Amino acid sequence: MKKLYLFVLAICAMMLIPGQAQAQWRIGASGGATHNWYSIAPHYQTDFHYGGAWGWSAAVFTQYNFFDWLGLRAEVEASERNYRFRRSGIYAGTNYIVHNTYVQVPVMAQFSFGGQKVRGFVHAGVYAGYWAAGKYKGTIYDPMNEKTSPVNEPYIFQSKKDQRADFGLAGGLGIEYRFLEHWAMHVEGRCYYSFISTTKQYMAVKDYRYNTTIGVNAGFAYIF
Amino acid sequence: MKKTAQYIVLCTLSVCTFSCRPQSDDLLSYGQNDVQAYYDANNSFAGEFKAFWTAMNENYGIWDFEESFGTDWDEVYRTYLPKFEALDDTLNHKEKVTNKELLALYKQITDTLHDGHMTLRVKNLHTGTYITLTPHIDRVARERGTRQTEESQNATTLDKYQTPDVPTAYRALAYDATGSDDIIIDHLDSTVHRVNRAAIAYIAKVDAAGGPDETNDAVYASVQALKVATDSMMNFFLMPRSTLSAFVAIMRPLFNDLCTKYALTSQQIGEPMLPIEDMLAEDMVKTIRFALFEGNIAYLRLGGCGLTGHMHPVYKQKAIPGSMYESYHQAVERVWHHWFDTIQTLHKANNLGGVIIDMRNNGGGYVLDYQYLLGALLPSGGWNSHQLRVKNGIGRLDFGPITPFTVQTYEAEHEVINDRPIVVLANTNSMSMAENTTYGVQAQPNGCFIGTRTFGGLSALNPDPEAYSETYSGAFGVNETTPIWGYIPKYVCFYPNKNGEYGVVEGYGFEPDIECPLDVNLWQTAGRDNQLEKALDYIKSK
Repeated sequence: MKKLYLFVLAICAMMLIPGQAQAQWRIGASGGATHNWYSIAPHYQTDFHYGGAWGWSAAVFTQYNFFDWLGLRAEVEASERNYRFRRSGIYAGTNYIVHNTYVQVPVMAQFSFGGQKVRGFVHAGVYAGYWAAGKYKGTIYDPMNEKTSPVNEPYIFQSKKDQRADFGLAGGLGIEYRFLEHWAMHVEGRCYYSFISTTKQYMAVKDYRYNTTIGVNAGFAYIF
Repeated sequence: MKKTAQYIVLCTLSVCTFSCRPQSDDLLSYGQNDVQAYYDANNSFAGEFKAFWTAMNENYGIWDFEESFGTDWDEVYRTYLPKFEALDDTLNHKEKVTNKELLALYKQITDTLHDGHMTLRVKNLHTGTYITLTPHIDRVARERGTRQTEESQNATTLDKYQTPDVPTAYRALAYDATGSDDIIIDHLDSTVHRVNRAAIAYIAKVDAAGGPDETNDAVYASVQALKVATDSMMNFFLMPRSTLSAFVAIMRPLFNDLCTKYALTSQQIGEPMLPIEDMLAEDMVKTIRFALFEGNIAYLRLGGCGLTGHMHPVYKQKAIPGSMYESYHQAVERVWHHWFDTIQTLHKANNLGGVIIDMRNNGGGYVLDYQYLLGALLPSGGWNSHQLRVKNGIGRLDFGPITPFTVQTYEAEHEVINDRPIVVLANTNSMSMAENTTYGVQAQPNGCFIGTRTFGGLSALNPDPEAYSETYSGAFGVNETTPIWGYIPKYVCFYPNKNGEYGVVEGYGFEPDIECPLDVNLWQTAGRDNQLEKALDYIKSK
């Protein structure tokens, strides 16, 4: 975890040193929506349904271009990796979204192509993240009182069970429009593929759960 | 060729990427009698232990609480699996495994657990019989010493409080009660005597007419046998009884067998015998007592929280018209209304001294009973009592969100008792719903709990295997069918402490506001109940 913090600090420091910025440097910000899927084996709990859910993302980034077609990009991003939990059968009123906020740092190579003003790009790299907060929001059915009630409760982390550190592949595909000499805007589709289970293997029984997130974001960059 | 190589590299990379996600073990459900899941358990002690361990691992709802006491369930697996494997080793363990041996092993495991309802039944594969473990009862007996047995064996009555033997200040001005065991015994006693008398009369009549002939010799023989059977049953009534309910438990099957066997004969002598209905015998209330004490203090005592079964419209319909159970319904309602109506009348007249709800030796029951107990004194619309959590997933620490739990309060128009003291009497044998009621009274600004620490079995249950999938907890296996059967919490309850912090009190219970152990000597020698008198004194002091 300490290494992750140091890495985040280094990236932030890079972005805060304009004196070192060359023509090939750029900084920017972006925001968008995410859609996450939670891969979990419900086993015999056949009335447990885990579905994708939408969330948001916001990021600041910096990029250094070695050539006009190749750059290295690093971001500090806060994003939601939500999923929906729903039950059928007697508990059918239980239907809530588990909101999970991650702080993550994707580091990706950018391959770009096209003209001076409009360029397409592909991102490929890895990310490291930290599961910062969680919340349940939706409805829950109580068969004892035979009623469905709203639920809006924080997710209580259990250090023995919850794996809050995350790591995986990051990739994207987008298009950039340079509307002024130093300013550009972009739209991008992004994907995060986690290799780390959200649960630690704390039991003799093995149980792995993963997040896979796609997102769409739009942003702008200042090019030095 | 180059393209093919690119595809191979791409495919290899994809496979490598996706193989970076190890997959979960395949798990089977132990909730019901699944042949595949219980296959090993039916054939070896080690298999039985593995089924128990896994079912508990997936279904028991308070592992986080147990871990706070140092329980490591994986370590239990590592430690005990070799011990159960040793039982299967017929070369080294040549004798048959005894129930005592099996019980000792499972007891070592379950003794550390805190669920206040847990019951476990395990089949001894060598003897074919089941051992039963009740770690909750064992724990309370271990931790509370003789208090639990003293309190359960000295369940006080109000008999003396209706006589001049107690000081006037404690005298009951009005009294009403009913109980299923009383009704059963009365029915049984009167029926047996009635039939016996009719049998004697029939025999005498036939004898006087010169003895049986070919038209009635079969009936005569049967009536003679009925007389012998009822004679023998009447002798049982003369024998000393430990408790009324234990006596009922022995007598009812004998009586019902008699009713079936001599159904025709008893009709032929004009005294048909009605068996004791299951619904009456299995009644949860057992006894309900109302008293109005000096100082206009309204008192209600319940043997078990089963009022819902008698008063809730859905349950009321289940009684067969004209049955003994239906008349018992009416009696229970009458006693409850006696208490409730007295409170209404006195409070409206600004003349209510206070209320006592007696939950001592009450093993719990329906949560819906809340509306007829404390809920009958609180405003309509429910009361946010505590918080609940359910198991949610196969992981040991997979839980759903913690949500507020609203208990039902009395819906029809009624007086809200917030200006006079409400006292709850409870003791070590007050369990489950009885403890919930105790907590509820304690949480009211005008409430007070007098007695001794409650049992510590708060989490609600689901003993019905059919309802296992409601929360994938509450119970696993099928009693007397699968080699293991467990009865475990379905809902885990969180209660606030004095600082407002919520926590689990499973296996501990609630501490009284005024600690007052039962004076066994006073009860046994004078028939007086010092806990009740303490409650009466407390109310009068307010």
